Amino acid sequence: MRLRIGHMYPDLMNLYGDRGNVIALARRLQWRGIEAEIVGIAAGDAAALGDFDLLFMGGGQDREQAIVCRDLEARREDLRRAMEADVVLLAVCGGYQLLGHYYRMPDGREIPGLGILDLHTEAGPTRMIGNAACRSEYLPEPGTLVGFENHGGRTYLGPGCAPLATVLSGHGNNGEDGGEGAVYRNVFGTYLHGSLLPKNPHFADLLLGRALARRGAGTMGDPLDDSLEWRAHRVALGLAGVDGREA
Amino acid sequence: MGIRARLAHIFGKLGIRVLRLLGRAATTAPGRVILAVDPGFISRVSGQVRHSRAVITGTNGKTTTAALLEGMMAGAGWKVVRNASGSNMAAGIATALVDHDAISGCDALVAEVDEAALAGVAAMVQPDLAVVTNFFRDQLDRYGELDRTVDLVRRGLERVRGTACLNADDPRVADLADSLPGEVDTVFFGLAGEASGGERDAVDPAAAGLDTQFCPRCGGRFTYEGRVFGHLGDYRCPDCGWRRPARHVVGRILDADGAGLLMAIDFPDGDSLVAKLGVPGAYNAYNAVGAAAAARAAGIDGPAIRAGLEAFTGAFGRMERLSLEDREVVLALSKNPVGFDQILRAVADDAGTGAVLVGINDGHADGRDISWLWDVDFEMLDAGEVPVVVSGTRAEDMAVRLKYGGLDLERLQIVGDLEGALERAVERSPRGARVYALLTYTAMLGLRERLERRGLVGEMWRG
Ligand SMILES: [Zn+2]
Repeated sequence: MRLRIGHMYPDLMNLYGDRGNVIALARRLQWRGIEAEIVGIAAGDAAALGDFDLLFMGGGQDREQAIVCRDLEARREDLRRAMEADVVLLAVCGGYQLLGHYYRMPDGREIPGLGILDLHTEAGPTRMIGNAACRSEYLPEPGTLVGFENHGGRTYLGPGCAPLATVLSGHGNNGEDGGEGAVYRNVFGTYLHGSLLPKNPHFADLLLGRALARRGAGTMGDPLDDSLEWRAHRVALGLAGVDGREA
Repeated sequence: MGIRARLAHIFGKLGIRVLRLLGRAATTAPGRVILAVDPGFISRVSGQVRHSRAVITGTNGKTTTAALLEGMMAGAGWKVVRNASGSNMAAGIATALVDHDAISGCDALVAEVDEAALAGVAAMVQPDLAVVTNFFRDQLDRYGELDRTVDLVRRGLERVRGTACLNADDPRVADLADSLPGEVDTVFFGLAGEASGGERDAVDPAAAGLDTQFCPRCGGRFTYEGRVFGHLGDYRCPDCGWRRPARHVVGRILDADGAGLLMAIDFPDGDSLVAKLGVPGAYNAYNAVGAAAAARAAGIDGPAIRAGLEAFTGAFGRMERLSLEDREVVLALSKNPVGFDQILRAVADDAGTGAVLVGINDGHADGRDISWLWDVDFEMLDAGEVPVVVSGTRAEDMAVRLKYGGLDLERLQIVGDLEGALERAVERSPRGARVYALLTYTAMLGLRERLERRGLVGEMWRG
């Protein structure tokens, strides 16, 4: 078995150590004896997104995101077909926002997104910054996700997707409705970085499990020794002001 | 000088003395008292500075550049006031002015200034000299994004009269020249790419050159004739044709080893000097050239510049060396991916390395977001056998980073307390070997304070 992981725009969309997520996915496959092929997809590259098992996209600065936006426009149909074929996608922060219908600027202008997730984002007056924790029904016990959020945009979900998690501490999608991130089929969006997957090993395995299941692999094999990861997870819960037991 | 400023000076002096009696560093707290008593203290006192009021800003190298410039001016016989490393907002500058009795006159003020504080500080200091070192992503959660930091510096530079020394090899810094007030002279400095030897392309651009690769004028993607490291080098925009401006002051690394650099610096008037620098790395060569450019603009002659360069042994925490139980401990401030990568390379290249301590804190001054750890190439530690001790408030995150970097877990140990972690690293290192302590800002401050009490390092406020 060999999984192909596409890292979308590794040079442009890597604002918050996002490559840690790809490192985590690759290592966890390697530790299970499953081969991982990591492919960087740069702006302008010819790449059939449906040929990947798992795609990752991080966040970038405004300037970089504008370039990505233009490039993604040309990939819209390809990406949509890949999503309908249940290719697994994780998008963090800026990448998450790009999957929605549009981003509304402070002056009211709307920058169109890909419309893959039924959500939109509005620029807010302040940035929402800090350690954050939430709990997700998609995850096995303890179900908590920890990370760091830093976003000015407020994201609002439509009926076509569900929140990934419920905020325990921090702001989440918009600081209002208690939701964090979004899920549609095998597409996951979130504001959490940190990097996210290394200290949320259950979420990394959820993504890998779905990618493997799609390829007909029944099991992931023996569980890995994640004691170090959970130690970091518990420290991050504490920093977010959440007691590991009550969470 | 008015009664108010005198009163502020006396209060500040008292505060500094009390803190030192308690064995504490007097950096910003006295400054807050001084500015509460006399909000106009900095502008009043710096108005009396005889020759030069310099501000130094940028992501990396502020402290080293400021210390080098201070040394060069001291070499010319000037009395110089410089703020303590890292105390680079108004309060830290007020503390320094009082501590060095600037109220009774001095020749120069050399202030390293936080990028976000530059506009405010420059309004008080009225600088006639400015140095901008570079822009790397750093402490993101404090300011938002790099574009904003650049704008803050741009706004701060509007207050500068006299000369602005800009790193021409960094496109975002070079681009600032166009928005300077008309009467300001621009001095561009940089490093000759061909002489950078082993440092050239030391950092894989795809992995770490993530900061500035795009033309600030048109958004085009830069091509490089040569890179020194990161995004610093001879860039050119294929879309609008903008390229690195011609440099007035150029440094060349003639020879380099783990302990230092031999470098030549060429000035625009055909003058040139060769000096030995007691700190390693191309990033320190940039600091040396930036400081030399500023010193020359302030009217300092070649021999004094050279004396300043050669007398330099490291600003606070940048590769500071001390001896502990027959091991040489090297303290290295490591606060962002590019700085970290440079130091890790030195550690990996040093056959005498006996153990490594990595101390990661997430205090306000460190940046509360530690996701940048994933942009550092800790994989450089994988080769070899040396034990690695991780510490600080984010020791566990650091341990996970090393695990996913491929480090053999047998070599890894977590010790939350920094002093305990250093002791553990020393224990696990063979006698006579070097123990590298790579520390974020507050981790350095905390560990150094303990070492200071044991008399192992000098007092920070004199560093
Ligand atoms: Zn251009």
